[in-house]
Amino acid sequence: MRNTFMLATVLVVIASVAGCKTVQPASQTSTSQPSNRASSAIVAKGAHTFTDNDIQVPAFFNTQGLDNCTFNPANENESCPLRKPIVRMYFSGTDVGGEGLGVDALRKYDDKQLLLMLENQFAGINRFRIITRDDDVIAQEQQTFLEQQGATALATRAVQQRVLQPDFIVKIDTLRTVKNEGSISGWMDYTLELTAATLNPFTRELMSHPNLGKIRVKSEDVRDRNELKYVMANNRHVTGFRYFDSAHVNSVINDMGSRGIDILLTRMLSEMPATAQVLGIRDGQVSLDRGQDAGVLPGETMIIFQYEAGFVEPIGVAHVNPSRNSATGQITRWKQSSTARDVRKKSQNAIYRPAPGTKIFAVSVGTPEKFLDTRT
Amino acid sequence: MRKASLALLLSISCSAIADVSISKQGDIVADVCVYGRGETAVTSALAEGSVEILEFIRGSTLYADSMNQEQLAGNQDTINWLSRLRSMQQEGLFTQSLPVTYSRPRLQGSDTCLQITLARSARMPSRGDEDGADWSQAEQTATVVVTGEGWPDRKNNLSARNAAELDALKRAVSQVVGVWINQQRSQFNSSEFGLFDGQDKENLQEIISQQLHTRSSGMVKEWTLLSSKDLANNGVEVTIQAVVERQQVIGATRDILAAIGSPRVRVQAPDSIKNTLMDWLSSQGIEVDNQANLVLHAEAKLIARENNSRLVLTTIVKDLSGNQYSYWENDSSIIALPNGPDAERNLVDVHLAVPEQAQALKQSLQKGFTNIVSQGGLVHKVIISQHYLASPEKVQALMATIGGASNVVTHANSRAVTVSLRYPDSAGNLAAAVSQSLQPILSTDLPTAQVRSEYEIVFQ
Repeated sequence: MRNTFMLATVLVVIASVAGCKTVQPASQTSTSQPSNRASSAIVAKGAHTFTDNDIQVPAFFNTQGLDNCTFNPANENESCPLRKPIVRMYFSGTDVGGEGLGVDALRKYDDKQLLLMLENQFAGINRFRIITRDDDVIAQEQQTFLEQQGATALATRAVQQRVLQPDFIVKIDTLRTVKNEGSISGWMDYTLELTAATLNPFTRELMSHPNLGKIRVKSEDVRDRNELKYVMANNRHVTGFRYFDSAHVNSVINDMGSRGIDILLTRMLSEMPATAQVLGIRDGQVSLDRGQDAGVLPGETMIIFQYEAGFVEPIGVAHVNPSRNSATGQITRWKQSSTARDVRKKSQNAIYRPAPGTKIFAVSVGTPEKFLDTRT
Repeated sequence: MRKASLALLLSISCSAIADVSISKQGDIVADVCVYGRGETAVTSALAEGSVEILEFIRGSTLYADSMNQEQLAGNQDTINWLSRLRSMQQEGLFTQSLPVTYSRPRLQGSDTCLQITLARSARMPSRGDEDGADWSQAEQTATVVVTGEGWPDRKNNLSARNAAELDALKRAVSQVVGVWINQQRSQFNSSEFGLFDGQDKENLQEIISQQLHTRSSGMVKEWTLLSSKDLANNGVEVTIQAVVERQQVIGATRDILAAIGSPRVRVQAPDSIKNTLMDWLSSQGIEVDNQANLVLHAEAKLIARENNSRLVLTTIVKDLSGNQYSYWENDSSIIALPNGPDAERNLVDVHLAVPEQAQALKQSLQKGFTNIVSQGGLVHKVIISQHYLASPEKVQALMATIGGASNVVTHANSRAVTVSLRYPDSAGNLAAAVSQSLQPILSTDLPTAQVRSEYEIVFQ
């Protein structure tokens, strides 16, 4: 009887312990430190260097077809993927606060030319339609037009082609800082931080997309530290970098700004990749339904994938070159999958066109491999 | 098989129609691809397809020679149809457009492709469409049937029936005015309407009818009562058939249009824009006169932003007594030019050369002139020395009896009586009318009036 009681007690204790088992916390996050390192540009690998594992569908592809397009840029349908937002660009004139060595010269920096450079570069990647803010050139040209063609011709032209109305503004905020290291012999250390925002100036809504993050450029990215060295004596500049001379400082900041814009462009191309529909494949050559008009750039690395009912199936990677409103590419590597094998087989010595209900698309991986060499 | 044999036979005649064929339904189908995208490409493809189909029809002349009897019998319908089409083409009935339909465009590389079909069932153009309208000759009178409504008017000593009849007669004249305006606008593009482009026809008709009513009599030659019925509140509705003196109405309408459309104006503007503006007014048929009662006041203001300027140009139509009749401001956003000594003049030139701007200015002026007429003419000031008047207090009542005069207001001091009134005619005619109307209250004969300007008349 006593044994029976003890056994029962042991069982109760075991059962109690089992019932009070603690739950381990899920491990879904990790700790990471924000970095203040300089940003770098990220470009696509060439299609020839892709491995099978690399052939994955990148983010932000858009499978919308051209069915709703009018192909008239001035009157493009809202739901057409070729319709690009019309934007005006601004460099937000952030003041440089405080006092100190080189601060005055940095404060005098005029970012108007940098803005014009930004407009030109952004126009080239064809993600937005840019309304230039170069009023001087426009007014000068209209004056010349007036002198050469007369008031009636100018009036007719000015009314026929009114200034575009922006959908959004693209605002680049800059934060410029300077610090000096050393005392008698020292060097200047400039930092330029850029953030880009797309906003609706009427609703004041800041758009979440494209999210280009923050770009940090340091003077050491564009100049050797020796070039920014100087020597002081009796608290006066003797030789070396003329940190107090705005022309010299502008030169450094311009280079930093230019580098920042390059990085901005590469991020933009990753955030807003070019997507096209594959009209046909023959012997590894792909024919796409859009080209320059959709922002496909020369030497684009594009992933070819099949899209059906919301599921994507990579088929291969292609090296693509655009024409004005179409593009052709060569598949350099086929994915090791049954779908890819099937498509490859059907496209040998014949034009393969996807069956109804199945669509094949091409999406760019990001900035073309040689973009920075040829366009910046 | 049938399709193939026809296509083969037809292709013998014309090598350029390789993409044109006859479908199973017997329609002619052209498959055309052109470079490009969008509406332009579709239009080009459509044009090219139509040309190919026409070539196909023209090339079908040899088909009968190449067919044996069996083929001929099997395709008789198609052959007959093509034959008809060919005859129509030779008669030039396809010169404007072929009644084709086209498929949804499909993309092929950089090309846009269309399938263009000339259906057997398509409605073909016929010669019957050329029948013209039967234009009636202008007549001296116009007969109209109109309805008028009226209620007792004790103030003017009118019964409901009388008021209804007057209303009907007014509507009869108005109807004739409306028809004439319509005819002039649609058929003749009359110069009388030069300043009235885009003017609301009903508005113009109403203003003219109102003026005709106040200044005219005998516009209706005769009228017959057709029916009458009682309305609520002792009102009466009558329906009459009226014979309107058409030529008389047209003549009076022309006079009013002339008063509205080509007034004389004085231009007040800075030198930089005055000459340009005067030239422009002259080209619009508006006479410029430094003595005119009507003033076109213009201002030009440069708005500079950094190195460039825009122009804000405003015009106000007003009379010398300060009444404003219209206001116009340009669209300054159209253009900016670099700052400089000639910027203002250049900008004025460009703004007045913009058709929409010139049209808007024209409409504003026309609105001003129409307002003047609808308000009873320009305001005039008549100054009469007290020593001519035996009963100065009766001046207002007598002046109000002048035909066309309205808004008569008097102001007297020990030396003179000043009368302000609206009058639709010239200052000279007003001076004569004043001399006549004041006869009953004069203490001595009035001297000849001094017409100092179109605005001011003085008896002293």
